[in-house]
Amino acid sequence: MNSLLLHIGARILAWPLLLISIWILYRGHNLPGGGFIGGLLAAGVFMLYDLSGYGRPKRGFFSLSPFFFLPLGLGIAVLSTLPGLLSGGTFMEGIWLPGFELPLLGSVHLGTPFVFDIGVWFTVIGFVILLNETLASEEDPS
Amino acid sequence: MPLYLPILITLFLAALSPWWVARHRPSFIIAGGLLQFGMAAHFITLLASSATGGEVVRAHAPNLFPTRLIEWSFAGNSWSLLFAVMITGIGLLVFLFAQGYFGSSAKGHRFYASLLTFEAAMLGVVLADHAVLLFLFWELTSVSSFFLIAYNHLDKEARWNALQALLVTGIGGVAMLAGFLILGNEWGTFSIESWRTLALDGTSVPFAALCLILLGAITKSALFPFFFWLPNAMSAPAPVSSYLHSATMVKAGIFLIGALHPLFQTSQPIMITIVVLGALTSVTGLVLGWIQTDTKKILAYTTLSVLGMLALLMGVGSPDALKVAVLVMVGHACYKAGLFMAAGAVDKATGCRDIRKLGGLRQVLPVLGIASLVLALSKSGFPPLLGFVGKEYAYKLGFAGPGSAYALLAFLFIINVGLMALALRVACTPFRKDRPVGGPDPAETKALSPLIMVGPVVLAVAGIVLGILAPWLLSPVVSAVVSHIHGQNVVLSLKLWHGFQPALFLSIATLAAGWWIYRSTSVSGAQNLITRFLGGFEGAYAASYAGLMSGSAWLSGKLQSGDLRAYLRCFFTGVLLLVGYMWWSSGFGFVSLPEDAGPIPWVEWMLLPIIAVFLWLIVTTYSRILALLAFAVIGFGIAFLFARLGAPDLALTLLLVETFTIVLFVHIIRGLPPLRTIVPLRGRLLDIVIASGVGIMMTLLVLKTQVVQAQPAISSTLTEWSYAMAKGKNVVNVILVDFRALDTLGEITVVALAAVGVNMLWKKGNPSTTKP
Repeated sequence: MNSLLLHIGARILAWPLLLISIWILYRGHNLPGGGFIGGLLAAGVFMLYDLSGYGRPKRGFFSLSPFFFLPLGLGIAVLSTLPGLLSGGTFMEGIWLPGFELPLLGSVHLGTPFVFDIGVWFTVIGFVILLNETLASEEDPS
Repeated sequence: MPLYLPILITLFLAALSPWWVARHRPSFIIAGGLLQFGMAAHFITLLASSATGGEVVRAHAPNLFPTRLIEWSFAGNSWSLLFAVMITGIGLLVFLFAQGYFGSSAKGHRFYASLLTFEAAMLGVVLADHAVLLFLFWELTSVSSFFLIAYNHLDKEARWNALQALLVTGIGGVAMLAGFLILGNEWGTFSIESWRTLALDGTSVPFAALCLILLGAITKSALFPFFFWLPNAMSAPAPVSSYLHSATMVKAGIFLIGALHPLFQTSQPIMITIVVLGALTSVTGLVLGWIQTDTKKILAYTTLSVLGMLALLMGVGSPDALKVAVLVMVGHACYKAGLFMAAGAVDKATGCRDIRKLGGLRQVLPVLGIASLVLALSKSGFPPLLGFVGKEYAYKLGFAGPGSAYALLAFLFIINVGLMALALRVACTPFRKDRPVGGPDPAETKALSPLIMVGPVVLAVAGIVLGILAPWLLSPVVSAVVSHIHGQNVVLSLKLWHGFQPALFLSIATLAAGWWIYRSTSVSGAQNLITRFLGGFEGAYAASYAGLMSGSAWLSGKLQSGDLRAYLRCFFTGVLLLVGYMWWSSGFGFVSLPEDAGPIPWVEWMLLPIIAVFLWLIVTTYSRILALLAFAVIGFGIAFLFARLGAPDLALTLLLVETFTIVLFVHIIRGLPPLRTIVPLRGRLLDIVIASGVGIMMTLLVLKTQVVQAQPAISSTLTEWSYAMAKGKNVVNVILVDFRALDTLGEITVVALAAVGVNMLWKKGNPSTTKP
C-alpha cells in the first residue's frame, strides 16, 4: 500500500521535525526533553518515509542506515565518558565548558553529559529505524 | 617499570598478532622473541634483587570503578617472580619452537593470539596481589588454554578434550572464587599479602574457604581425582603441551598452595589432604604412564607424577620439604618442557608418536638425540644435573625425618625409579640404534627448522649449568622462595656433594634400578585391572557431563514450553505468592489512602470509564488490530495522567513509545493468524483469578507506597543536587545522563544489541528476505 500523500507529507515535515527533535535534545537538560525523546521524534521521520511505501530519500541525513547510527551513537556515548577520566577525575565525571551567551538560545552550557545525550539520541534513532526496517521487510512479497 | 606493564604489553601483542602474523611473519617472530627475552631478563633482575633481600615490588594500576571487590594491585615476591621467570623464559623458547614447528601454517595467527594471551594471563596469576584479580587471570588461563588445546578444531576429540579441561579447571576456579569471597568477607581485605600476614599472626582461617580454594588448586594442577584432563589435553600441538602442560598452567595450583601456604598450614586436615592427594596422583601418573605408547602421553603422565610429588612436599610443609619442592619444580619445568619439545620435533620429523615404532634416529637427528638424553638424565637425577640436586635433597629429607619418614623415602624411591625408566623410555627409545619393524624410516625424516632445536638444546644446557652452579646461583633464590612460602626467614645453602651419605647410595640405587627397568621392559599398551579402575574417574566425568546435558535438556523442555501464556501464568503466580507471603508475614499491614490526598479532579475521574471500556474491548475482541489500538488508548490515558501529575518527560516518552509500538506491531500482526479461543474454559477461569489477583496486588502496592517510607526519599536530594552539581534543571534528564549515566550507557548498548538481534533473527527466520 503506497501513499503518495504520506510521502509528500513526510518530505514537508522531515526537516521541521528534525529541528524540533534537535531542539528537544538540546533543551533536555533544563526542560522536558532529552536524547531519548528527541531521538524517538527524529526516528518518527524515518518511519513516516518507510510507511509511505516510496522509501527514503536517496541522499542526505534521512538516507542514512541504522548501522551508521547505532555505532555512531554508542561511540559518542562511550567517548563522552573519557574526558572525566583523562582530566584526572573518575570515569564518566561530567566536564563542563564555561557558559557563554548566544542569540536565540540565551546562556549556553556545554558539557560531556550533553555529548552523552547526543550519543543516546543517535542510538535511539538507529534502534527505532532498524526495528521498523526489519519488521517491515516482509512487505510486498512481489 | 610497573609490574603490570609486561602483562599489558603481552596482551597488546596478542591483540595485534592476527593482523601482524598475516602481514609479515618474520618481523612478528623477532618482535615477539625480543619482547619475551626482555621480559625474562627483567624478571630475572627482579628475582635476583628479591633473592638478595630486596623489597617486594608492588604496583597499583588506576581503577575505572573504585570498588573493594577488584583492585589492580600486583606484588612481586620471590615465589611469584620465580614463576614469572619460568613463564617468560620458557615462553620465549616455546615461542621460537612454535615458529619452527608450525612453519608458515595459515592458522598461525590464531595460535599466537591464544599463546600470548595465555602468557599474559599466567603472568597475571602469579603477580596479582588481589585475590579476585588472581581469579580473573586464573580463568583467562583456562579460557586461552581451551583454545590452545582445541587448536585442531576440526578434530572432534580435540574439542571434547579442550572442553573437558575447561570444565574441570573452570569448576575448580569458581570454587576457588567462592573461597576467596568467604575469606575476603571474613577478613575485610582481598590482598593476598594481608591474608598471609593475618594467617601468620594466628587469625583463624575459615575451613570452608580453605577447602574451596584447595579445590581450585587441585583441579588446575590435575591432582587426584581430577588428573584425567591433563593427559587428554595432549591433543594440543607440541608447543602448547611443552608450555601449558609442563611448565606453567598445571603448576598454577602448586603456585596457589605456595602463595597461600600460611593459610593452609593452619589446618592439619587440609595439609594431610594435600599430602594424600599428592601421593595418589604420583602413583596414578606412574601406573597409567606405564602402559602408554604415545610419547606425549607418557610425558603427560610423568608430569602428573611430578605434580603429585610437588603437592606432597608442599603438604609436608617444613622448610626442607619446601626447598625440595622448589628445586624439583624448577628442574621439572626445564627438563619437561624440553622433553615435550623433543617429542614434538620427533613427531614433526617422522609423523609418528608411537614409542613402539620409533627408533634409529640417532644418525639423522644427532643434536636432538643428545639434548633428549641430557634432559632425560636431568629428570632421572643424574649428577651434576639440576634434577640431581632436587632428588638428592628429597632423599636427605627422608633420612633426616623421624620414623614415618621411611614411608616417604620408599615412596620417593619408587616414584624416582619409575620416572627415570619412563624418561629414558620416552627420550632414548627414538634414538636407539635399531629400527623396529614397521616404524618410520629414518632415511625419510623431514628436515627440521633450526628453531625447533633451540628449545631442547637451551633447556638441556640450562639443566647442566643450573645443576653445577646450583650452590651459587640457586641457593639465595631458593632461600628467599622458601622463606616467602613458609612465612619465616630461612637460610638455606645448596650443595652438590654431600659426602658418602645414605642419600647418595640411594641415589645410585635409583639410577641403577631405573636403568635396569628401562632396559628390561617394553611397553605393551594393554590395559589391566588397575588402569581400568583409574580410567573410571574419567568415566565419572563423562557420565556426569552426559547427565548434565540430558538433565538440562529435560528441564528446559519442561520449563521452556514456548507458550507465552504458560510463562505469564508462572511469572504472575510467582509474584503473587512472593508478595502475598511478604504481606502475610508482616501481618497484613493495613492499607489506607494517604490523608493529604485531597479530592481527585473530574478530568482524572473521566479516565476511569475510558480505560474500563477499552479494557473490556481488549479482553473481548477477536481483532488483533482493535486490541492493539485499545491498548494504545489506555497508554495515552496514562500519559495524560503523567502529564497532569507533573511528569512531562514521562508523558512525552510514553506518547512516542505508544505510537511507535502501534506501527511496529502492525508489521508483526500481518503475519499472525486470526485470534481465536484456544484456552479451555477452566484455564480461562484460572487466568481470571491470576489476573484479578495481580490487579488487586498492584493497586494495594501503589497505595502502600504512598504511606510507607522506609528511608528518606532520594528524590529531594537529587533535585537539590541537580542544578548545583550537574548544572541541569531537569532532574529526570540529569539522572539519565549524569547521576546514573552508567545505567543509561548499559541501556543504550542493550537497545542497540536488541535491534541488531531482532534484525538477525528475522532474517534467519525469513531466508527469502533479500533486503540490501
